[in-house]
Amino acid sequence: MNRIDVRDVRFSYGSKPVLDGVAATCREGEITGILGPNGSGKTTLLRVMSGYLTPDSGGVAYNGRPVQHLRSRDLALMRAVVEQRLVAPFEFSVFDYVLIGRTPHLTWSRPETAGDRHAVEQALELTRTLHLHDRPIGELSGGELQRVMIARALAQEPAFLLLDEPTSHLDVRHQLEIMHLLEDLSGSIAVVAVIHDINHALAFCEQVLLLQQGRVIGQGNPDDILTAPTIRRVFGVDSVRLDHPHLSQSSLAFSLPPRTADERRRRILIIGGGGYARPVIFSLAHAGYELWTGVLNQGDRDLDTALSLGCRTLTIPPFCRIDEAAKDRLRAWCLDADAVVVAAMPVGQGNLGSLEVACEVAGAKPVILVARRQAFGDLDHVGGRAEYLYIALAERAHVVGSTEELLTLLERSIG
Amino acid sequence: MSARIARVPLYGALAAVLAICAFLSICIGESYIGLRTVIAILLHPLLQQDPFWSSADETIVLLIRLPRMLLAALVGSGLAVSGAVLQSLFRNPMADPFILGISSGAAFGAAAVMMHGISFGLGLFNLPFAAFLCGAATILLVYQLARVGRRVPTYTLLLSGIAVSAFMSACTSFLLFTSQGEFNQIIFWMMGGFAGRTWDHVLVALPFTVFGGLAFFTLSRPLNALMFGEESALYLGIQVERLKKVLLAGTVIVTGAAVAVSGPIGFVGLITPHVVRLFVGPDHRVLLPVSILTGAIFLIVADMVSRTLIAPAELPIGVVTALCGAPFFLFLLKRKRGEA
Repeated sequence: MNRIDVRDVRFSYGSKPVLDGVAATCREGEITGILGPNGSGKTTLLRVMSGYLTPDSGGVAYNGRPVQHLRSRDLALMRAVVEQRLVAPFEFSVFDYVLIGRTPHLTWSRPETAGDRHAVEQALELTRTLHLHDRPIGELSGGELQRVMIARALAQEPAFLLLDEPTSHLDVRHQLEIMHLLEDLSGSIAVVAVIHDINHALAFCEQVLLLQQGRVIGQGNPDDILTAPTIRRVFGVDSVRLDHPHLSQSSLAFSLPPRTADERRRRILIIGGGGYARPVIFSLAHAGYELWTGVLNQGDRDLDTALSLGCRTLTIPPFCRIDEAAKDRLRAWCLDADAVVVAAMPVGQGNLGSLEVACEVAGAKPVILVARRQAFGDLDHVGGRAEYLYIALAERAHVVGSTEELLTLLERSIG
Repeated sequence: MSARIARVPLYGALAAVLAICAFLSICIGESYIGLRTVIAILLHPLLQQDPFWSSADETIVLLIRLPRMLLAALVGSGLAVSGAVLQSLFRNPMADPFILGISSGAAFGAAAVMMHGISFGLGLFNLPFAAFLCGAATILLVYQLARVGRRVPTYTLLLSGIAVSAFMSACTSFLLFTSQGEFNQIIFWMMGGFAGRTWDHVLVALPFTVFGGLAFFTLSRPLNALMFGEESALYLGIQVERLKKVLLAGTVIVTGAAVAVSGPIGFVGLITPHVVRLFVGPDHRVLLPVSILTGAIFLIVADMVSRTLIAPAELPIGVVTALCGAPFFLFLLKRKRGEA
C-alpha cells in the first residue's frame, strides 16, 4: 500500500519559520486535502513532501524510504507534481508537452517508444484532452491547460500525485470535473492536493490537513475537522451548513463575522422554529447582536442555524410540547434581553407556549414581530388561539415585513 | 502553427543548402574558380585524375578556402547551438554565447598577448590559447560570484555575467589605452573573422565543437524539461544543478574554442536560435540540430560576403553578421507575428 509519511517537519525561509512540526500520513485510495488560510504553509508543505525543499528537521518518506535517500529519478518514477502555474514556452504541442512527463522513464540512449506514446495518449484520455493532441499549449483555455498539466503528471505513471491548487483558475464546472477526476484517480494512487475551496474538501477528500501558521491544527475526516468553530478560529469567518437537496452531501455558506462593538453588545431573544427564523438569525448575527433563541425542539432547522452562528439556545426534546418549565425559562430569558424578536411561524400545540410568552412580555420589553403577511389565520393550527395571540401581539408589538426593516427598527429603538 | 514538422525533409533540405553554400564559398573569392575544377581538386586524392588546373588554384582551394569554409561552419554551428542552449538555460531570449563574459575575457587575453607580447611558446596558437584561457577564467569567476551555497540561481549568474563582462571590457580598454602597440590589430581581432586561418585552426576547433554539439544533443530532453522551470524539471527527476553545470561547461568549451580561433563573432549565437525557433518551435530535439546546420550556413555565407563585398579588402565578419542578420531577423519576426 503506497503511503507518504511526513514526520515532524520544520522548515523556515531564513529566520521566518513556515512549517513548525508538521506530521501527516497520506495513503493510496484517499485524497488528502491540505487546507489553511493564505500564508499558513500549504504550498511549502507540498514542496517539502515533493522533495523540492529540504526540511530543517524531520523528514518525508515514500513507502518508508526517506526522500533524501532516493535518487531524484527514482523519486520521479513514483511521484508527480502539478504546480500552480505553468511557465512558458507555449509553442509546445499538447502531445509534446505531455511527453515531457515521460522524462524519468527515458535516457539519452533510450528514445521514446510506442509504449511511451501510449502512456501519453492514455493520460490525455483520462483527462479528456485527447482531442487537443496537436494544439499548442499557449492556445488552450485555463481549464484545458489545467487538465493537460494533470495529464503530464499522469504520463509519469506515478503512485503519488501532488497538486497545488488544481482548480484555482477554473470555472465551477471545470472545478467539479477536476475534482471528480482526482476522485477517480485516487482509487489507485495517493492524491495530495492543496485546496482552497473548503466545500471541495468536504465533498471529495477522505482526509484533510488543516494548517494554521505552519502547524497542523486538525487532521482527519473533513466532516469532523471542518466544523463551524474551527473554521471561525482558523479562517475568521462564520459558516453554516446547508444540505444539498438530493446529493448526499452538505456544503458550507460563509459570512464575515460581526464587527465587535466597543459598548456592550445588545442581546436579542429570537422566538422561532421550523426554519422560519433563519433569515432573522442570519441577519441579526451578521449585524453583531448577541443572540439567544428559544424554545426550539432538538433537530429543528433553526437550531442548526443558531448553533452554527454561536447563539445561546433553549431547547426541549424532539416533538415535545413547550411545558410550563420551558415557558418559565423563556420568560426569564426574554426579560434578560434588550429586545424580543418573534419570527412568524405556523403554531401548533407544541410551540404555542412560545407565542404566549411573547404576548406576556410585550408590555415589559420591546417586542418585534417579523411577518411578511398579516394573514395570521393561515398560521393557526390550534383552532383560533394562535391567531388570537398573533393579533394581540401585533397590537402590542412592532410589526415589520422584512429583515431590513427589522434591522432599521432595532437600530433606532435599542442601538 | 503545429510544432510538429516533418523532420527528415527538413534536415535533407538544410543539408542541401549547406552543401551548396559550402561549394559556393570555395568557388567564389578574389579569383573565381569553377565548380568543376573545385570538385576535381577535392576528389583528386581519390581519383588521381590528371590535373587540368593550375597549382595556384589547388593551393587556394585546399589550403585557403577549404579550411576557411570548414572553420566558418564549425564556429557558426558552435555559436548557434551554444546560443540556443543558453537561451533555454536562462529562459531569456536575450542570452547569447557571450552573455557570461567569455568574449570580453577572451578579448582581454588576446589584447594582453598582442600588446605585451606575452608568449606561451605556442607560436601561432599563442593568441588562441590566451583567449581561451582568459575566457574560461572569466566564466569561472562569474560562476563563483553567482554561487549561493550549492546552488547557482540563473538570474544571479546572468547579472554577475553582465557585471564581470563590463569589468573585463574596461580592463581591455585600459590595456589598449596605456600601450603604444597596434590598435588596429586588436580591434580587428575583436570584430572576429577567418582571414589567414589554416588547417591547424580547424583541427583545434573541431574536437571541441563536435564533442560539445553531441553532448548538447544528448541533453535535449532534459533541456526541454528545463524550459518549464527548474522546479518543474526537478519533479521530473532531473538533477537541475548538475545539468546546469554540464550545460555551462559545454557552452564554455564550444564558444571558448570558437572565440579562440576566430575572435568573438556577434549575432550568430543570438539570432540563429531565434530564427530556427520561429520555424521549428522550441523542442530541443529539433531545435539543436537545426541550429547547428543553420549556424554553419549563416557563417559560411557571411564569410563569403565579407571577403567579396569590398575585395580585395575584407570586411570584418561581425559587421556582416550584424548588418545582414539583424534586418533579416526583424523581417521574420514581423511576418511571423503578423501570421499569429
